[in-house]
Amino acid sequence: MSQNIIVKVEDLTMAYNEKPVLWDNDVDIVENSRTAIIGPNGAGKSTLVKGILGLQKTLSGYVEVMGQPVKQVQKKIAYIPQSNSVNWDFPTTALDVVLMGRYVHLGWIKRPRKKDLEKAEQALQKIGMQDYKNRQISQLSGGQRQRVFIARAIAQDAEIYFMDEPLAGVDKNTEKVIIDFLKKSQSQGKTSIVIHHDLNTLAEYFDHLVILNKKIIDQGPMQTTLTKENLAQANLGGWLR
Amino acid sequence: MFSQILLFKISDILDYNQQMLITLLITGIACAILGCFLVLRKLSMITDALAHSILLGIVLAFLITKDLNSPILFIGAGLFGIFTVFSIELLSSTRLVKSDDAVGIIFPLFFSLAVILISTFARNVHLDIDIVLMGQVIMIPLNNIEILGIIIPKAMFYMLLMLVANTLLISIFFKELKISTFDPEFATIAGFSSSLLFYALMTLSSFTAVSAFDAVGAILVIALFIGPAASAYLLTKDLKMMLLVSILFSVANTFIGFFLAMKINVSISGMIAAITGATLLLTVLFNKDGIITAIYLRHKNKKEFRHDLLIMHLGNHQTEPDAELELGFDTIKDHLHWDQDAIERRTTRLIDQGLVFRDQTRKIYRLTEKGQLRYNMIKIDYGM
Repeated sequence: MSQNIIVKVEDLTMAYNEKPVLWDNDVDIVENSRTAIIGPNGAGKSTLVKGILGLQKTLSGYVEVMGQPVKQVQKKIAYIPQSNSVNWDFPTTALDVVLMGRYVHLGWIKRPRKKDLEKAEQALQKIGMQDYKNRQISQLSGGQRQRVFIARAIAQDAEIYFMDEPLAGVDKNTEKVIIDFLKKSQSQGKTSIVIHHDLNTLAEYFDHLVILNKKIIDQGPMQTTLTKENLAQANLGGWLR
Repeated sequence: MFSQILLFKISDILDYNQQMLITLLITGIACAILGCFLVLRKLSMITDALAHSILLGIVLAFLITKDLNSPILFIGAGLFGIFTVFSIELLSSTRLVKSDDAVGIIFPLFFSLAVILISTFARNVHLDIDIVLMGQVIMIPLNNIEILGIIIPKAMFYMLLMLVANTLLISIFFKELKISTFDPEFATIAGFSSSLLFYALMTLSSFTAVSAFDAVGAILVIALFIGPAASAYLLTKDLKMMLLVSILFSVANTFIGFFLAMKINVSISGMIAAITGATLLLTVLFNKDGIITAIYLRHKNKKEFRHDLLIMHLGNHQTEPDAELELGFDTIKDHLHWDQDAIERRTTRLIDQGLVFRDQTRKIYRLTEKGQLRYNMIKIDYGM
């Protein structure tokens, strides 16, 4: 595997009301990796991802994605937020949400075309949701909602996937679908960065690891980074069986 | 001389009542379509704040221009509405107060300032508090302006302008408004600035509220923004459909409210607001997930379930040796623990449906062929 750095974070500090949530962090995400970000509650995992994506203000530091500022390469980044961050009672269908993935390429004012609709349908098919395309999103289960989000990322044709706890509260079947999707994406040269909360499946699902607790504890390939000492330092020691 | 000939008066083709009704309809539709996005973004309270605070904008602009009909009044008050929203956002972004509380602090402050200013400096002007709250629908046909050779009621003109502006915003930026309402973070990453769209929406809400202020007052404006949209939200699965249904609600509310108010001679805007509340209440009660519907369905399901249960009992026992006891005309009630009345009622119903018959030789209830099919289906339905 190549060792190119696809996401480079330098000296990143982020804060809520002058109270730092992330301290002076350097993160390197390896191209074509499946990288997990772990850390205890309040460690700043979501904040880090939002900082990288430019969704929250940073106090210091900078972020480069594919060697460029994030704003320049936004089309190539798909973000899958925590499932509860959107209003699932919104009057729309599964297919329509997936179609939103195409908006990235449309820009202002232009409407989705037939080609975009086809891409959205294909994306739903890839994660086994084609039968639910006209279902209103409020009637989808937790796992199905997460799959709709994944399909939206597929429809976007992105190179990098950022996912915020995609496996939280989903059924076993959906978990498998999502992990298969990550592995398949990797074989197509794509990179995924996933906030994960289950230490038991960590080594099985991912090949790179970032351990965070306001500061970066350690990062690198899974075998060398997933150690008892590192976990203890991140206050995660008790979690490991 | 020349312009005299070209002059066209709205009052030549519409009588007073028609002018009022049409202005109210336009106002309702202009508010309802924006209202859909306000409801989906949970901005009802901000709209409330906005509708009240623009009074301060109107008063301040009036103190500068000394003219209630000046366009500067319209622009000043509209901008002040945006300033209100901005103040609320700013206050809640400090995280020292919650967003709800920020609304509760800013809008009474601005509204009461306006009331103080009116009572101090503008006592003799027609800016009364009751007019501020309820408007003066009756005055709509009396206050005319000339635009491009057309003499048109001022309120009608401004509302038409806002209807066009709102329709344009929503049809041109439909996709952007949808995505930033559903998933603001994704919208930002996709390159559609959520705060830009938010302020665009708020700007139009503010100017719409200002335009409607004279005619219908602060209370009805909120009812017109929120009521039809909230009703449509309960009934539709699709954003375009929601917009359409909210327009239908708005038109119906306005028609009913207007004619009812005329008939019993009460405040027109008050009556429309009341009807808006009533139709929303009815929608809450009777929509497919509504309270009454739920009670009705629960009752119906219970009834259906008892009938299914009876069929199951007959199906399970009619081929068994103890059928005479389990299914006997007089003994079945002891086995199901139902009273004889319930047995009679339910068996009669099932006999009427051709699912059950009375086997007079064995003195038991039995399933017909149709009943047997139903029995098999029930077993599948309940996973047995």
